[in-house]
Amino acid sequence: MTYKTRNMAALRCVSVRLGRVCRCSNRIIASRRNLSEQKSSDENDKEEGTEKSTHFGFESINESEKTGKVHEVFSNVASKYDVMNDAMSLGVHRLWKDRFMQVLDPLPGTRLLDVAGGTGDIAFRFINWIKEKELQQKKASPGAEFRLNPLETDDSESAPEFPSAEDYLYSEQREDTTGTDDRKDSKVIICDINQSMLEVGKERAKKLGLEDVFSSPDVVWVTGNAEELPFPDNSVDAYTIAFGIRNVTHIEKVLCEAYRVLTPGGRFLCLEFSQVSNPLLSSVYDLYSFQVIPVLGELIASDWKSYQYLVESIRNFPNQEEFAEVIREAGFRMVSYENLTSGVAAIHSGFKI
Amino acid sequence: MALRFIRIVCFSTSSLLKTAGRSRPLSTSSALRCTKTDQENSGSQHEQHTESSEDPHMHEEIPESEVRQRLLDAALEFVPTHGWSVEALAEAAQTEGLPAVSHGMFPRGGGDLALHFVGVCNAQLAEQMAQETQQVEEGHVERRHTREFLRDAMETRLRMIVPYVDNWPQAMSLLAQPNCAPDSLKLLSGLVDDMWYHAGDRSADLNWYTKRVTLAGVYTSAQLVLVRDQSPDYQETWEFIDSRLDNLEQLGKAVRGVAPTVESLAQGLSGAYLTIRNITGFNVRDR
Repeated sequence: MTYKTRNMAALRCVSVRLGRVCRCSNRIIASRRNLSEQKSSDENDKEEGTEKSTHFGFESINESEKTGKVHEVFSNVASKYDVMNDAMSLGVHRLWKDRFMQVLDPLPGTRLLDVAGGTGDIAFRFINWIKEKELQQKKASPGAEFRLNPLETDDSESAPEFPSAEDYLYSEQREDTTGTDDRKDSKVIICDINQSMLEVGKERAKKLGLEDVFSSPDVVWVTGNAEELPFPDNSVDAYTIAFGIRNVTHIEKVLCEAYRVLTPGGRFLCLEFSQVSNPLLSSVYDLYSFQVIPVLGELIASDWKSYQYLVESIRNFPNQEEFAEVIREAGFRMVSYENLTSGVAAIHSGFKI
Repeated sequence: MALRFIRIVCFSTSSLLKTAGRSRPLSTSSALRCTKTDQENSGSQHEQHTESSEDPHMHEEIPESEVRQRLLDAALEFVPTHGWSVEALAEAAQTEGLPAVSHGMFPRGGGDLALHFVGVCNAQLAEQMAQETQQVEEGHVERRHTREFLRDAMETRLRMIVPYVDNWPQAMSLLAQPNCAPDSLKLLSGLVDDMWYHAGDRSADLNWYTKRVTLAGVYTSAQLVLVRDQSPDYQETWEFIDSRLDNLEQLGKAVRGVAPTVESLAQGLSGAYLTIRNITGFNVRDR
C-alpha cells in the first residue's frame, strides 16, 4: 500500500474512533467482573495488536528483517512512553512521583522492589534520594542545627575530612565497632514484564550516570510478572508500584505477591490513578481523558487503542476506599491513602506488620 | 497429626508461663496470611512455617496501637544521638527487627515522636499528682499550699525533659508546626488542667479559664528558660518558676483588691451626683 492510501485509512480510522469516543464517555460502568473481562479482552487485543504489528501493518517484509523491525517498533513505543506521560499529564506526573518518594522517605540501607517500573522513574528518584541522605549524614552530626550551640562538636567528630556515615551513626551506639559488615547496602530492583521498557530504563540510567560501579545503591533490572514474582519470601523492605497495578489481570494476586516478598514491617506503596470526587473537576477530567488523551496517543505514539484502553481502565479501577479495602484483605495493616491533584492520582500505603 | 497436637498441648502451658513476662519482637506479628490465593495451599503448612519457636501464640497479630507505642518508646532512646527525627524512629524499628522504612507508620515523623513523649510525661505527672491527692484524702499527708504544689508539679514535669534538653528546641519547633500544633495544644491544656485540679481548684466561673491560661503561659516560658539554662541543677529555671508564680499570686490579689476600690469609687461618684442635683434644684423628691 502506498504512503498516501495508508494515511487516508488512518484518518478514516481516527474519525470513526472520535465518534465512538463521544459515546464511550457517556457510558456508565457496571460491575468489576465485567470490567476485568473487558480489561483482559482489551489486553488481549493490545497483545494481539502488537503481535499483528509484527506483520508490520499493511507491509510484508523479509523474515530476516522482521526481528529488527519488531524490535524497532517496541523501542519506538517504549521510548515514547515518557513523552506520552509528560504530554498527557502536562508534566504533573513528575510531581506525583516526587511526592511518592517523599512519602516513602527511604533511608540508606533500604532494599526497594519497584514493580512495573520499566523506564525507571521511581528507581532513579530512589537512587538520588539515598545519595542525598548519605551526603546529609556525612555533613553534620544529627540534630546539630537544633542545638543552641551548633558549632559545638561531639568528641567522635574530631579530625578526618570525610568521615564515613558509619562513624556517626554506629560508633556511639554499638559496643563492638567491628565494622560496616552489618549495615545493609541500599538496593533497588526494577521488575517489569516487558523487556523493552527495561531496556529504555537502562539507557536512561546510563545517560543520567547512575550506573557507575562504585556508588551505592545497587541497581538490578529483572524481567518478571507481578503476579508471580521471581523473588524469595521476606526479601525486600519496600515494594512500590507506580501506574502499574491498573494493568494487571488479578490485583489480589499482585497484592499477595507483594505481601510475600516484603519483610515483616515492610511497606507497600502504590501510586495509581483514582477517582475524582469533586463533580465539577470530575467532568473536566472526563472530558480531557476521553477527548484529548487518545488523540495525543495517536499523534505522538501512533497508538490510539492503547491510550483509549488506558483512560477506560482508569474508570474501571476501584476508587480510593475500595482499593484500600482490597489492600487490607491481602493482609496489610495501617492502610491509608493520600489524594494527589484532588483524586486524579492517589498514593496507597500499607504495612506488613 | 496427633503427635503435633500432643506437642502443642505439652508446650503450651510451659510456654505460656515463659512468655508471661517477655514481649514478642514486632517482626513476628505478621503471619503469612493471604486469604485469597492461600486457600489452595494448606493454611496449616504456613502456620507451621511461621511458628519459629514453640509458642502457639506466635502467629497472632500484635494490635496496631501497640506496635506504634512500642516503636515510639524504643525511639526515645535514640533521640539524644539522632534528634527528634525519622532517623531515630528508623533506628528503633531496626532494634525491633523491622526495616527502616517502618518509620512511615508515623507520617509526621519527629513530630509524632515529640507528641508521644509529651503525652507520656503528662500521664506520668498526672499519676503522681493523683497519688498525692489520694494520700491527702486518706489522711496520710497534709494538703500542701496551692502555690507550693504548683511549683513542685512544674519542677517534676520539667525534670522529665532534662534528659533530652539538648534537643528540646527541635521538639518545640516540631510541636509548633501546623500538623502537630492542635495535638500539642490539647496536651498542654490537659496538663495545666490536671495541675490545677490536683492543686485544689474547683472554680466554676471565668476563673477556671484564666487560671489555666496563665499557668500554661508560665509553663511554656519555663520550658524556654530550661533549654537555655546553664546553672547547676537548673536552679535558674526553678527560681524563674517561683517568680512567675509570685506574679500570678500578686495578680490575683490585685484583681481582688481593686474590687472594693471600685465600689467605693462608684459610691463616691453617685454621692457627688446627688449633691449636684440637690444644689441645682433638679431633685424633685426632697422638696
